[in-house]
This record gives sequence, C-alpha cells and structure tokens, in this order.
Amino acid sequence: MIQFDKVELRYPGSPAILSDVNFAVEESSFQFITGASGAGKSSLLKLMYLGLKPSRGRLSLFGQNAATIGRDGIPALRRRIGIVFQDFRLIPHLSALDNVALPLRIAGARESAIREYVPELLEWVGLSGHFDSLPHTLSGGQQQRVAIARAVIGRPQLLLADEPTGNVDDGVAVRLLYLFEELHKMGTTVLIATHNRALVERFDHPCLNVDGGRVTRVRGQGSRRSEPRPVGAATSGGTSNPSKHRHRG
Amino acid sequence: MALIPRGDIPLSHDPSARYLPWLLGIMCYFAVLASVGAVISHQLAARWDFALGSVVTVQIPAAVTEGSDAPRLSQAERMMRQLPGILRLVRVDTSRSVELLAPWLGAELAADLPLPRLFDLHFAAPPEVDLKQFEARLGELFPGAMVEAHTQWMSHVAKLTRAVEALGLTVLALVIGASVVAVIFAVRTSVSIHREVISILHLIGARDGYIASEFQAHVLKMALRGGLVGGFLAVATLAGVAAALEPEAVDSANLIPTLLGGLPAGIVEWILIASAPVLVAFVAWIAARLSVLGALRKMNP
Ligand SMILES: Nc1ncnc2c1ncn2[C@@H]1O[C@H](COP(=O)(O)OP(=O)(O)OP(=O)(O)O)[C@@H](O)[C@H]1O
Ligand SMILES: [Mg+2]
Repeated sequence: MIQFDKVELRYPGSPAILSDVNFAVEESSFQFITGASGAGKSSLLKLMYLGLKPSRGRLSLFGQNAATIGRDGIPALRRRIGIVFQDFRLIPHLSALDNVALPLRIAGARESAIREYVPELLEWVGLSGHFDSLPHTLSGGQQQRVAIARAVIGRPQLLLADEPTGNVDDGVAVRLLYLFEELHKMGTTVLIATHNRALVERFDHPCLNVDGGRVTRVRGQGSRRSEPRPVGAATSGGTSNPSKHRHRG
Repeated sequence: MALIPRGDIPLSHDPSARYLPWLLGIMCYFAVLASVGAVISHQLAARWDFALGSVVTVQIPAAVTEGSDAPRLSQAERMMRQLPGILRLVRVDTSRSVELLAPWLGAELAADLPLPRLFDLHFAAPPEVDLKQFEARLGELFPGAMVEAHTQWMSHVAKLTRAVEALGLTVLALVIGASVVAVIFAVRTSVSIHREVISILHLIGARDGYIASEFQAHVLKMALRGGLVGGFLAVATLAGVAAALEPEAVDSANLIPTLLGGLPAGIVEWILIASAPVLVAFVAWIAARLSVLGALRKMNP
C-alpha cells in the first residue's frame, strides 16, 4: 500500500531529515512508528499524506508514484486517508460535531447519515456532553478525541495518527487504541506515530523506529497480530463496536 | 451548487462582509440607472429613426386653399402619391390645428385664421427623391408651397439618443468591471485570512471547487443583498425623477410610460432592466469562483 524506496527528505535550507528510507506498509497492517522527539516521525507521516514530496527517491501510495500525483489527484487520495494531526488542526469556529462531520460533508454524504453517525462516534470517544462545544472550550485530550473522531468517521483505507494519545490518560489511550483496532479489523491500514513506549509494548504490532534520519524495523511483521495483551479495567469499555454501522464516506 | 454558504469557512466576519454588500449595492444602483437610460434611448432612437426620420411635411399656403382650388389640390396630392417609396399620405386635419391654437387665440379667431394645409408624407426609409426639385414643381401649382424633410435634424437627434444608449451600456460595462475588481480584491483578502482553515480542508480531502463554492455562496449572498437595496433605491430614484417631471403621473399605472418619455416599454425591456442587479450578482459569483481558484492554485494543496 505504501512503499518507500531510497527516500530522502529535506526541508528548504536544512540538512536531510530523512535519508535512504526503505520500507513498505502492507495493506491491512497495523504498525507503530517510534522515535525520539525531532527524529522525523511527523515528517514521515507528512510524506504519506502528500503534505510533502520526497526530495529524492521514490514513494508510492496506493500503487501510484507520489511524484506523478498532480494537484487534482490529491483530494481523492486524501479521502482514502484519515489523519490525526499532532496539533489536532481542528477548525476553530466549528463545533466538535461539525468538525467531525466535515469529512462526510466534503465527500457529499447525506445530512441524515451525518446526524446518525457523528454523535454515535463522539459518544464512543467519550464526548457525549460536548457535541456543540467549540475546540477552544475543550481540554487538550478532548480536542485530541475530536481529531481522532474526524480522522476515522469516513472509515478511511489508511489511518495516519500522529501522537494520537499524547494528551490523554492511559485508560483513554488504551480505549482509543481499541478504536483503531476496530478500524483495523474492518480493513483499515493503521500507522501510529508515538513516543509512548508503554503503549507500543502493550499492543503487539509491528513497529518502525526513526532514528538519525533512518527508518528501521524494530519489531517484525507476522508477530502475533490482533489481540492485545490483557490490560486493566480501561479495556472494559471496548465491547461496543463504534464502527459497525458506519458507512464509507 | 455554491448558492448557500455552509459555514466551513467563517467568511461572514471578514472585512469584505462589511463593505462588499454596500459596494455591490451601489454598483447595482448604477447598473439599473444605466440600463434604464440605455433602454429608453434605444426605444426613442428606434422610434424616431423609423417614424420621424422618414416623414416629409408638405405645406401649402393658406391663401390658395379655398374650395375653388380643389382640382389643383388633388393634382398636388396625386404628385405626392406618385413619389417613389411613399407609404402613405396623411392630410393633417385643419380642425386639429384650430384646436391646438384655440387656447392661445380664442376659438373664434382661431377658426377664422387662414391656416396652411399640411400633408405628412410617410416613406419606408428616408426619401431619396430630390425634395428641392419636388418643392419647385409644387411651387408651380401653389406658389409658396414648402417641402420640409425631418431627416436631417432627426438624424442628429437619433445620433444623440444612440450616443446616450452607448453611454448607458458603457456605464453598465464599467459598473460590472468595477464589481469584478472589488470581488477579486475581497476574495483574495479572504483567502489569505483563512489560509489555515483552507489548508485543513485540503488536508481532509476537500477539492478546490468545494472551497471555492463556499466563497461563491458568500459573495452571491452579499451581491443579492446589495443588489436588492441598490435596485430598490434605483427604482425609487426613477420614480422621484418621474414625479418631479410630471407630478400627476405618479400613480403606478402611469409611472412606467412616464419614465420612458411617454413610450410604453415592452415587457422585454423591463426584464432587461430588472436583470441588471441579477447580472451584477452573477458576474460577482463567477468572479469569486475564478479568483478563489486562482488563489488556491498558489497554495500547496
Ligand atoms: N516545516 C519545517 N521546516 C523546517 N524544518 C522542519 C519543519 N518541520 C519539521 N522540521 C524539522 O524536522 C525535524 C523532524 O521533525 P518532526 O516534526 O518530523 O519530528 P517528530 O519526530 O515528529 O518529533 P515529535 O516527536 O516532537 O513530534 C526536526 O528537526 C524539525 O526541526
Ligand atoms: Mg511529531
């Protein structure tokens, strides 16, 4: 689904952030990306949603060479990708509900569908009382959950989550990871960038590490996919399936 | 269809939201006045070209037009009817002339006044006959007979009205051009104000067209609001002018003919006039789309 071939990335006027990056993300896989702060995790994700183009090398997304995807091809590609931004990037004047509804609206979904699915998902991420709240009235963790809901509402084929649990307590973090696993079970390829080692340890998924501009695999694919290791009481909420009714936007 | 703002981008708080409706309202005001001017002049010019530009008046002195002169008179009429290109000959009724003069001279005096006999010769087009020569031939029958073509001075008037019409259309074009410039300027400012929101929309898969439609709907709303006010004020102005010119005419039935210099305007002309604000709004809507798309192309998607 994603293939990096000798990819190099440099921001204008600075040395290469990433160099000689070679790895593939298989369809329907679930992977973590770890690395120290400033290592280049966000930059790596940015390449994958075409927020940046490689300075060198070849990157292919959904079987297309990123270099050949023109401006007009980008929106269609992005609709197949759900992105949780490290800085959330919620639209400040829209309520939590409208922020989450946005991908569906952009995709031209019916309002009746929006009214059905969006509140359900917001409830699932624990924001029942905040449908009409503006982002600046929400805590960091609440904003993060709005951002996650917005990323998954359209049931994307690829989910890129940048530090999606950075602002929530462990219980909520695990619960959000369950949401990602639900999506994964329905076929979404999930990539999560995080420096939360404990979380990575708790879920048994392949893991890539970014260090010194290189990306290396620290925990291989084919390791026991699927069920996470048993965790505490926080997992008990994970019985309902947040995505079972959802449609593809 | 880019008609109703969705509110994804908070455009209603932009500076342009405050001045653009006014500006477009003023533009619509001038657009309506300019199109009324153009339509009136067009009608007048067309009518005068046709009706007056091709009319020749023949005047036979009063002294010789008594009953005994009937044979000569009919011979003169025959000569007139034989002119090439003539459509019809209208004998101007002397009693009508008397009526016109009565208020000035008193009914009796007017009735006794020896009035010249007048004929209107209507031609399909401005006559090509040598009118001087025709006047000389008539002069042999009735010394002092005069043949007067309106063509020349009428063509001046027609040219003038054509010029007024062209002026009206030029003003309309300028108004539309100025609206386009104002919209382009406002939209570019808005795009840079909302750069951040636009980039989020791009990141979650919005096409440029989706973003542009938000701006279009916003501009259309402002243009229609301004156009409504501007159009209303323009009609009020016209009614005021009409009232000043002819106070008794300002009941609704007479207003329209009065506005058009006594010429009843057709429904087509009124549709043209009413469409001026709609035209301004439509042009603003298109200008908004093109300028947003242009500005977005300069941003990274
Ligand atoms: N727009 C930019 N222009 C120039 N340099 C940048 C830009 N964005 C990031 N960088 C640099 O690229 C490097 C990698 O940044 P990046 O945000 O990818 O790191 P990260 O691994 O996501 O860090 P963190 O864990 O703190 O989020 C950093 O050294 C940063 O200074
Ligand atoms: Mg980062």
